[in-house]
Amino acid sequence: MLDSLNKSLSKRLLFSFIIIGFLPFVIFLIYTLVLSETKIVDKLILDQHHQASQISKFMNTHLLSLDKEVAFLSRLDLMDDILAEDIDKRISRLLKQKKDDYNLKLNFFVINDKGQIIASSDKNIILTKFPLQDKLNKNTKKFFLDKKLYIYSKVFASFDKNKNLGYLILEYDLENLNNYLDHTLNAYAYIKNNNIVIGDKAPFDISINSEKDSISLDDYIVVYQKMDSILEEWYVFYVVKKEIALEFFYNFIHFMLYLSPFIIILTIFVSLKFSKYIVKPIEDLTQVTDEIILSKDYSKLLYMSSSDEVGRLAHSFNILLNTTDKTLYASEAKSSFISNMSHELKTPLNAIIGFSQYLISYEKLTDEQLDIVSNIENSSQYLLEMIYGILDIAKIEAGKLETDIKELDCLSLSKECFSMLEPLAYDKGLKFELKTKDYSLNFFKTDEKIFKQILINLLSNAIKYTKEGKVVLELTNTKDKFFVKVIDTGIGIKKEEMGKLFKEFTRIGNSLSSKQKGTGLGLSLSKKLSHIIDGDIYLESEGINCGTRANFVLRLKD
Amino acid sequence: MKLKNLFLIFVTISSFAEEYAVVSNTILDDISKNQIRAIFLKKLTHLNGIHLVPVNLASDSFIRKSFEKELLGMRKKRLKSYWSNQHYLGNRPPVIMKSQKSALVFVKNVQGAITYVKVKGLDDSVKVLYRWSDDEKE
Amino acid sequence: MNILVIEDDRANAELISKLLEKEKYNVDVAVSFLEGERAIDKAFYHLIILDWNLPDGSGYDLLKVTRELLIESQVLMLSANSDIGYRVKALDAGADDYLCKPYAIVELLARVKSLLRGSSSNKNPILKIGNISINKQRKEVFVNSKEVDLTLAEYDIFEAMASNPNKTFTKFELLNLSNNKYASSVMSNIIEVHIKNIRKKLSNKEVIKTIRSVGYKINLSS
Repeated sequence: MLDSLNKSLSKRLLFSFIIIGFLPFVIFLIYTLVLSETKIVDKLILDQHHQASQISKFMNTHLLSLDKEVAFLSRLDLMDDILAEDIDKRISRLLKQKKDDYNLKLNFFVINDKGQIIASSDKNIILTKFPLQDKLNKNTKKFFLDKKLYIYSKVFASFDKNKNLGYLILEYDLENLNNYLDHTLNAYAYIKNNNIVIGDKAPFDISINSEKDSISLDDYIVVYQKMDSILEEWYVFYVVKKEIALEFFYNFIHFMLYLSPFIIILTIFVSLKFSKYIVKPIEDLTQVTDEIILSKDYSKLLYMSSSDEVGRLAHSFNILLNTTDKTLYASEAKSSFISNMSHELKTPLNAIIGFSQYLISYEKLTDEQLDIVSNIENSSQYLLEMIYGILDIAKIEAGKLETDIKELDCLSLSKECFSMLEPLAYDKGLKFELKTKDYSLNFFKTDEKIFKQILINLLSNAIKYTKEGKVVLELTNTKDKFFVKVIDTGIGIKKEEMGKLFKEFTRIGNSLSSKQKGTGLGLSLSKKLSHIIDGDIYLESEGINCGTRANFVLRLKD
Repeated sequence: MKLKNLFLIFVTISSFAEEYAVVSNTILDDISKNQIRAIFLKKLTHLNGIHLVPVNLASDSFIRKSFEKELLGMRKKRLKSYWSNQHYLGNRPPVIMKSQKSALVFVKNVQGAITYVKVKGLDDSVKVLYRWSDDEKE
Repeated sequence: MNILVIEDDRANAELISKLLEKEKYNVDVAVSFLEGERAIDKAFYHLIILDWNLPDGSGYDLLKVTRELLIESQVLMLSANSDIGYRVKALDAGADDYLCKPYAIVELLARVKSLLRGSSSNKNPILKIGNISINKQRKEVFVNSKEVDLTLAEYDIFEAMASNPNKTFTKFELLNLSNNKYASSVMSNIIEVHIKNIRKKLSNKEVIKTIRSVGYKINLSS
């Protein structure tokens, strides 16, 4: 994957665009999904707690006011009528009035000290015995029984504070408290005391662990608080269906999720288009350059309409093409020049040499004339040789030198060269050896003419520059290299002059060399020729009179 | 007692004027007119260890008016200022019952309770302490 | 023997004709395709030396024309191009030999003689010089009937000189003759060594005469 990315700019662009397109959206989505919900839920819980507190407060305020009412009523002078058994029904009427005023499910009644209901807002229960006498035990208090709250107060005679006439009791149906509880479709608000529930109970049980807490379930968010004041034994619960509470949020999420395939498609589509659009000019450029390379028609120019980076690249490329075209043209011109020159130079020179030799062979010349003509012949031969050398170098430089590569037995070629120069060595009194240690090649693919030319050049140089001692021709090869070494015990090469060795027309100067003949092209040409057959030549010497090692190395291909 | 009652009944039957009586809870002994006055003015609060509870009828009751004339000898205005003063001394006026009926029940139920009613319809569940009659009709 | 030289470079044409005349041949020169064609038409030549590049046409085409006319002269093509392809082409078209320019005159002469020898019966393989005899066929050299072992290079040099007695050969010519395609001026003194060795082997210092610093020749008089 990484590899294919590395190979394709358009893929890299596409990938980058997609990431840039997706990244914000994805980050936002993740944030929304993961964090927002929590935040929203927390806020919700806070609100619900507040709601619950409000409910609690309102309920208690209401009940407190009732409590006050009970206390108030119990202290009325009217209560003395208890002693008159409320024959005038003054108390009942008052209680009824009060009940009507409240318009709630409640009842007031007054019981006498014997527990008989003397007066009541409900006339049906008058003169019945109050059943819950035993629950009455303090001054102004309350108790809960089932779904009823009883608030009561002792009544005393107005004329005698110590005379207990009985009790004023308010029987309050807790269902009234539903007025304070939301009855909405998706929220449950209720108060609970042990198993008694007022309001819409949630369809599941909630275990109470503390006085105030919130629970976030899968479907619901539950908030509960312990109530205080009159309802101090009670807990108020506020349960909200997550779905509804977070409705907007979930809608938003759904919207985002529905949107995401479109966004994905859009992002990918736009990214593809864009990356292609950006890469297209480069591809066009590549196509045209490929055509140029194939057709080798460097006079073709690239057309680029934009002035951006690619346009500038095309412009530079055009300049390059122009240069290449000119260079190639020049090179072509050079080649044909070379081959023309070759012919033009050789032809007259042939005549000069020919005539010189003719004169020497066929005409009777005086000694002096012989010397003169001989000079002409010698000089012309050198000239011819020089021309050959220059032409070869020119061909090599122009890349026009053709090679004839064949499988050859280099040992036998080496032997030929060796025997060609043997007389020369012996005549000089030098030892001339051919060594083949570590030589294992039977055949080697190379060009025969070039191989021999180089070898003869090296050998003749070695012989030429060695006064005494020996010249060794050594053939070795390793796994990947083939070495032809010519080692002599001659005059060697000064370290400073190493650099000049392969320069054209340069001969390393010392006393011997002025007598030596040669064009000065030998080594330079040999080195260049060696490069053509995938090899190289380098010389080593410890210094003056330390001999020279000429290394002709060829690369072995598998 | 029986003789007195008979006498009262006789008197009642034989006259056209309304007969009223001051009655009390049976636990009480005889009480003089002056004592009655004192009780209703809350000058006298206890008798023989029994806490006395005077009971008035409604302020617009004819009987009450008659009672106040007969036994208290005070007019409304004067009574009002009396009770105003008493209020500051911490005395409250007597308990008020709305009807004779309730007053009677009260008196029956409360030891030391005294009130005044029409003689007609009385029985011996209450003690009659005083009688008077008034020509003025209601 | 009549030889026609068709060569547009006057110097070279003159060189060849002078050389061949000295060797007792009759030489005619043509300097263009047209002239050459006319000459061929007019007379019979035993040998036609034909240059490939002519100013008004290709020598190759002239060769084809000649052969089409069923003219049976020997044809030696001269060309500046050493490509083997050209050589093959020329020989296929009917040339009898092909020589690259520049050529040593000694080489040219040898080729001419070889081509013309074919039409003469003089095929004597034995060459005698004094007490030295050379069997050209077997490349053997005998001194007083005793065989002398010459190296290939030495033999080539000696045979060439013996075939052209009294002719002075320059060192370069001899270098050329020793079949050394890789001859270079550096090695010109190898000829001295070869001559020295030949003299030694023949035990005869006089048969090959040193001509100053010019070259060597074989003296017939010895």
